Amino acid sequence: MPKILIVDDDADMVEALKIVLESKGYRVDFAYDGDDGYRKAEKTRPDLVILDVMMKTKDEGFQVSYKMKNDPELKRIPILMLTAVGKETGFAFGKGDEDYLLADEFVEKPVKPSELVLKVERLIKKGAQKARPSRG
Amino acid sequence: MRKRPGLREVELIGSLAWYINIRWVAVFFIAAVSLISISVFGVDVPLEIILPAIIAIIIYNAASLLYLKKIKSPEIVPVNLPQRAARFVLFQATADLLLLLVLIHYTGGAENPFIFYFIFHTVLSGLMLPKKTCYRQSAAVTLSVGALVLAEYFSFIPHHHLKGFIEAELYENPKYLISVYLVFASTMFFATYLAVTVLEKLGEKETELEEKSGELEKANESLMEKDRLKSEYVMMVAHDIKSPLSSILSLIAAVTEGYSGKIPEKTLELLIRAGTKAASLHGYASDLLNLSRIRSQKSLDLKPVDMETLVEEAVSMAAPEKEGKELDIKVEFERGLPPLIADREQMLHAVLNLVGNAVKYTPSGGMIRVEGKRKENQFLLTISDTGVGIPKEDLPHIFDEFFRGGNVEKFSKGAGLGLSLVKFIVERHGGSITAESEPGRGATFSVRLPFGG
Repeated sequence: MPKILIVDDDADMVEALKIVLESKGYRVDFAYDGDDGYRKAEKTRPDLVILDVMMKTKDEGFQVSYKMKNDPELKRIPILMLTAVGKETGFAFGKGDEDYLLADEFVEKPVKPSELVLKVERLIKKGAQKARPSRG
Repeated sequence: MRKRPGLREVELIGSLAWYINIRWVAVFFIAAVSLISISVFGVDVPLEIILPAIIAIIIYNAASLLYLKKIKSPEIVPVNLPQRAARFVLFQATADLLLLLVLIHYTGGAENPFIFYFIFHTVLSGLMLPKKTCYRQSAAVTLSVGALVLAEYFSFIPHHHLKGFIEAELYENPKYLISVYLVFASTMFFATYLAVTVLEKLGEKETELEEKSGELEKANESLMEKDRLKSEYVMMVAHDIKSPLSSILSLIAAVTEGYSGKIPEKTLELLIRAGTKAASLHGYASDLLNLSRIRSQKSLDLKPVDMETLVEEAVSMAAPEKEGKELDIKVEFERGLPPLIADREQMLHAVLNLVGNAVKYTPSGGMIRVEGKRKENQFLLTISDTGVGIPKEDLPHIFDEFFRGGNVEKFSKGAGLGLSLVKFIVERHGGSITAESEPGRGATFSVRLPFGG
């Protein structure tokens, strides 16, 4: 079963996500800060990374995703960004912003479990498709 | 770009115009007095002198008017204006004084009580020219008049006696001449002193006023900055509240949607209720965060914004909130509207709020119209719906912060901050917002904004 890495400094949020994902059969690992998360990603090569945007600093999440996307070993790992900023505040992270913001998809906090599951499935499938050519 | 004229400059130009207008009055006055003196009092006024003098004054005053128009024109460097104006005043005053001297000479000299009219120029100059110039002018006038009287007395120049007015012998009476002259001289200086002092006092008051006005501005700025800092503080607090709430909601959702295993019916029910309350609090904190974030912004990021595109964006963002409702939403914009200079993010937030409200409060089957047009050189945006409307007693309060109307409980869980924020944004852009409603028939919100920001 696919491996998921959750990087978020809020242990309770991590727990909530973990419960949902593990019940769907995914293996879940986690890290509570950007550096630890990056190290674990390098070591364990997860099939998906769920990244919180705001941790110790306002855009720590973006920094980690930037590093990962610019790392030849890790850039193929899809990233799901957890954001507290949504359409109500006017920052509509739409389809066009994905490339610029270096995340593959976004999910808004508080997380609707059904939405989370849907996006996770989608991204893992996408990641698997990307990986296939290099194996073949 | 020309600097806005200072208080003094504006006054100076105003005074010049006034000075020229007074001279028209003077012309009329000379003519009238002459005619009355001749016809009513039988005085032998030398019209052969008076008439040419009047014509000369008319020509000279018209020329002055033209010159004034010239120096008022925007091509003139404003820095020079005070000096040019002052020189113009001095020129006019000198011309006036010489003319008066000549007229007095030909109409009896010291016999003519109008000799005291030299005081007018003294006072006028005192109000417009610097102190030293005024005293010098008064001295020059006093000396000139004295010279005229002496010259006529000693027959260096002919004395033109005004027949029919006073006995000729008066002019040979030294006592009379000296006393009149002394009164004249003293009046001149005293009048100069008064006029100059009045102007000084006025100047002091003006400076005081400017200072006070400057202090007021500073105090106002300081107050606005304090308010902005307060909003920054609220923003941080709202964020710190919202963050853990998100986790709470995620945890509750994970349990209530069955991801942590089966739970007893009653437990589920209680958890759902807790979750609803938490969601309500989360919404409140979100609203507070948005409100304070926008209020704590130091400046607007002003750019040309295409409002039609913005409205359509807002409508598509509000659509998922329809929650299964069938709503007829139409956007109609006048052709050829120029872009609005505005902060796009804030404007989007405001429009989204209004459209979102319309969606929220209109039941399935209803209609929402968003129209944009030009009205009285401003941009007019109207959002109207056929929803539940706003009760009459609530209408004057809907833009107040934290106000929640009586009939909204079942439709939303907001903090009542949305409309107050919309009003804040609209007014910050120099616009205004009004609402009309018929309860049960719907509501219409009208937003007026200047195109130029």
